[in-house]
Amino acid sequence: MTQLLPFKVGYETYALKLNDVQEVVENQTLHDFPTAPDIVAGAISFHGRIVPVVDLARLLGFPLGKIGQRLIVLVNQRGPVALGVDVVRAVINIEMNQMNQMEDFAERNYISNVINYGGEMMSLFDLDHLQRELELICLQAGGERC
Amino acid sequence: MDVLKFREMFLAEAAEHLQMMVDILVQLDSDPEDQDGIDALFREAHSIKGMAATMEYAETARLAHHLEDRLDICRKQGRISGVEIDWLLEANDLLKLLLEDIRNDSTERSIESFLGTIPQESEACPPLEGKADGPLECDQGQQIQLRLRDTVVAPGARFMVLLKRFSDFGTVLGSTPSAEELLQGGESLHLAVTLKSDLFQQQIHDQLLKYSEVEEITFVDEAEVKKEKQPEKRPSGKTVRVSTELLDHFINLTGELITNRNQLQNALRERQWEELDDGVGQLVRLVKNLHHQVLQVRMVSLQGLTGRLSRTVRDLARNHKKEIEFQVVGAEIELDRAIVEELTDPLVHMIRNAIDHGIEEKGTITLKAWRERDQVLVQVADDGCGIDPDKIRQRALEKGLLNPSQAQTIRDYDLFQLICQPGFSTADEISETSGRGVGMDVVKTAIERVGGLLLIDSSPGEGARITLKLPISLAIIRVLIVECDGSWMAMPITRVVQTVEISPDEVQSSGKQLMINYQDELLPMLSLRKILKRPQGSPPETIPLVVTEVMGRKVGLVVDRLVGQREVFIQRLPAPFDQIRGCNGGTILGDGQIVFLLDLQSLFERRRS
Repeated sequence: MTQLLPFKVGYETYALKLNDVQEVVENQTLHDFPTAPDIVAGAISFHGRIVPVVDLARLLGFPLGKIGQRLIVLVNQRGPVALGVDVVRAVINIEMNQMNQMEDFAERNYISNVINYGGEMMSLFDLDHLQRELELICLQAGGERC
Repeated sequence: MDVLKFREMFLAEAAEHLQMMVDILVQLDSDPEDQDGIDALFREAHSIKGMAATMEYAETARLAHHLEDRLDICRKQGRISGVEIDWLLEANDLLKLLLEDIRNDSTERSIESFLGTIPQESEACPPLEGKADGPLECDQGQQIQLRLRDTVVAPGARFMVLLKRFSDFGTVLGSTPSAEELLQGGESLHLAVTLKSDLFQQQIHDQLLKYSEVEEITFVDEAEVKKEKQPEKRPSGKTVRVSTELLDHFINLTGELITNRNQLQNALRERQWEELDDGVGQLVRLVKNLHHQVLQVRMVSLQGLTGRLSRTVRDLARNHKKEIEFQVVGAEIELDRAIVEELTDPLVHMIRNAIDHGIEEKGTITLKAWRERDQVLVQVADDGCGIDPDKIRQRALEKGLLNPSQAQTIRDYDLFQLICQPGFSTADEISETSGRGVGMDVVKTAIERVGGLLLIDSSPGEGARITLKLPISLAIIRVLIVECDGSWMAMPITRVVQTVEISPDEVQSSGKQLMINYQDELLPMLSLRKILKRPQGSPPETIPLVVTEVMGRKVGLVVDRLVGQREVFIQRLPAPFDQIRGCNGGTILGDGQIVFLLDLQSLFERRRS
């Protein structure tokens, strides 16, 4: 049994393994990060640490939502970094077997698998891919703001 | 306490004694009859010997014992010769290697060959080098591998005969297979013998060739065998020695904090607002005190560094056949450990430059450190020929760093800063053309990484001075906070030359570039909004300006508002966000606001590239 945290960005429903999530925070003050690339919406102060916020809508090419209202803070091993999403739903329990995993995601980035949860399609968000992309983007960044 | 812990203590203490020895040796070099110095040296060697013997590190103890012997002779003679000092410095290096062996948990290397080089008042022979063909006399012996012809019927028996022959050459320390195994009738055609002998390799080789069944004889280089066995270098743990006095302070502070907590809890329970106010006031004082003490723990003086630098000067002076005096002023000045560590390489570099290019035959290099408010200044000065501005000018023109009209108007001071431009010169060309600046960009980068500033000053014939302005501590620094496009941003105060507010009438233009007259000097004006690609603001009544230095030039940075100075704790950003150029971390202010630390230099590098 795996616990997943489903969330919505744009028109798409994604899910993260609950093990990768540290906390979901709401209504945080987003502070300006002046030299960051545009996919970084800013930073929040989270338990005394500065945690950068990635604007998932912008990263995935969806219309921009209002960032800062719902943030998923990933575990420290993954940054820590916070993901700005549109809606966070209740945690679901799912048996990760062949039955509900569909391997038709090859064309799309940031998705490691597609899951059928009682008829609803959810994309399992690929955090490793995110990490690699962020590394690239940050290396190239520096005061550029598009 | 377990053995490992004892070992750590031993290693830390022995390293300190060794450093001390180097310091004293360098001093003795200029005053070889300093009796106190020789005595002190003897005591250091004695301490190392004692500690090593207790820990049963035999080779280390043996070498330290030899040092003691040599020093005892010097003590009786009342002086120490240059050759002797060289030998002792080499011994010091070897002891360091031995400590490294101990740290890595490998067997201590042999010191035998080094002991063979006991100093004589002649050409000092280089120690520690493997002899291509010398007696096989070192302690561990030498390994000799034999292979017999395939046609040999009873290899075991043949090897027994050969082993017996080997014992005529010297002492057989062991063999694979062993004599017992051979007696039981080994079938292997290979034999490895470890032999200790006074004979030369060639002699043994010739003797063995007399046995027709021997096909191949290999002398295995001991060093090679060792190299293969050597484990990966273990990182040396970062430890700090803290005086018990300081620890007592911590305990007292903890006591006071507990009392304070009780007072606050009490006041809260009884709703005694005045008490509460008092308590909080106390707490503010205690936290400030704690902060101060914690910083103290991280502070080290420059003393640890000066020994190494004196040795660099000494070695380089000898190599270049120059006569150089090295003076140190203010070695007791303390800085954060991390900064001092970062300083070592840049300082060595600066000193090397001064010896390579500054001083011609004879001169003085002065290392001076002093405090100025919350900054530490470290200066390396030489009294050599100085930097020739014309050569720099020419070089800058060639490299396209200046256009001809700039080359005419640029002041010498600004010209000198160009030396630190990356690619200003390459190591090969420098010595003929501009005479100075090998890797100065590397030095400057290292200094800026710790939030410092590098200034070069020189007048022909009067030598050169390179001054480093450094923050005292890395984590907690003083910053200037400015506002830009509604956000607050910070820059280290060490990077700020001055802040001024000017009226728009004072702005002049030179082509497209806006300039401002600052202390009789025309500075280009740069807008922070523009640099950060923010929309233009409305024209202000007065223009707030931060005079700072980027790419070796003074500039006036236009901001929206000067907020003020704060002392803040800088956090590193989590990876990969720490890679973003133009930002060196951030801080959370008392009201929860996050302020990022701007690194203008890298912002500009980005813009240029």
